[in-house]
Amino acid sequence: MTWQETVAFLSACLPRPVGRALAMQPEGSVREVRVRTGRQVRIITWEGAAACACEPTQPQVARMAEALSEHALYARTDEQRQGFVTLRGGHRMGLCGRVIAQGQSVRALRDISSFCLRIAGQWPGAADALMPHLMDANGRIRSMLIIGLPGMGKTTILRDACRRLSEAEARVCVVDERGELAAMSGGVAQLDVGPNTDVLDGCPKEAGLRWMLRAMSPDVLATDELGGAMDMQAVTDAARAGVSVLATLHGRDEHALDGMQTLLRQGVFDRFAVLGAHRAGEVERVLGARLEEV
Amino acid sequence: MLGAGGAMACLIAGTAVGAYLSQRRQARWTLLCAQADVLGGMRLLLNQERMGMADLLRACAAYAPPGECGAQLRKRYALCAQTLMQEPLLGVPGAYERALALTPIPGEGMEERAALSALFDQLDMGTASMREQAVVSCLHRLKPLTERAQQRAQTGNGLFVRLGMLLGLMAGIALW
Repeated sequence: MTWQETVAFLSACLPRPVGRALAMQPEGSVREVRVRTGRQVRIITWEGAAACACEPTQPQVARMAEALSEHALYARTDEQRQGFVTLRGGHRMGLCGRVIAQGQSVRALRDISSFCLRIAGQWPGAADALMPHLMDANGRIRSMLIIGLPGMGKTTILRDACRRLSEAEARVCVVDERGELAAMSGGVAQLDVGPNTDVLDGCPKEAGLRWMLRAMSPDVLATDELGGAMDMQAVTDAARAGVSVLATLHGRDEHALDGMQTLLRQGVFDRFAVLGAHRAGEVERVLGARLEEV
Repeated sequence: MLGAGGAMACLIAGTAVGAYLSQRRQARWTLLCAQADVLGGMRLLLNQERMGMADLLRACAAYAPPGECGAQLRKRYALCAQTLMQEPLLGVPGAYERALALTPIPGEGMEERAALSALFDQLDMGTASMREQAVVSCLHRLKPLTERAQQRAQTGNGLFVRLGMLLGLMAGIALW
């Protein structure tokens, strides 16, 4: 999806002043659009924030959210329970409103009062700094975990790494649980993940990693945002099967791995890339399998 | 005055008018049956698939039976889906109202229009189960209308053709 297509898609779903303001932004500059009931819509760019002359009411906010999801919020309750849904083009819409809870778990979200639209970016060259660390001396692809804070470019870097490896003839298999890596639409990846890449869209990571391992004989398995113990187990199994794994993890630094001693002990990942907390896409340091500096 | 040829023409014209009127009486029944097929498909899709409303409406159209009525319904649902894609802020009810205005279908009654408008209002909110229930309710509302339309179509069917033929014959004799 090009920036023009993104602007056309968003403009149809957002108030006219917001659409006009978005159209004036150059490609790659917009990070977020924040919409809140009774407040001015804010467009967040790398340079700062700009307010638009538009203060939507709650029904208008809800209608915008529905429109952005292509009127499919009703069908995506599982995603909503996690707090966000992925939109066409791989953009992410985080939602707030009235939660209908059942005990400690979230059953549904009603009366959407605000949302944050994170714009997915295609950034060729984002993985340049990591590419030398991805290959060992024998040309074998190393497993790598990219650690970073939200919005610091983990997914963008992972996508670019997939593209680069795929272009180098590696069989790359992407398990895209949230549809943010490849943004599949009608069987076609809206974001470039490379010519030699297969994408399993919308599949939970644990099932998807095993699926790809069984079905597609990958050289590299890629997935976004590792979470629970089941994900870790699936990644460990894939690594044991001799497949390289590329994944991302939320965290400020390598201390995000504190609860994952098994992962470290078993040497599932050969490299850990820690992203900077101040500038998106900046690789602060790369660590080895025992978290030693390399 | 008209001769044998003219009389025959009157007979044929009268029969044709009778057949047309009979067909019009049948149109509502056919349309209601087609609408029930489409709504059955919609219910199935809401239950089994997880798709956006525009895709769902487009997929529903495929459940319309062949024939003129089915073609008109397909056109209406496709237009509704297209409108929703192009102007998503209209919402499902808004897109349906626009499609309804642009695709009038002969024989469609006010009661089924009201039932369908109420359904499309509910297709913009709630969970998949709630929407599915709205479809079921609409089908319940349409059922007695369909039965009544069927009864009318069947009772009036032969009568109109025979009446038309008789009137044509009388006119032919009178004008011979």
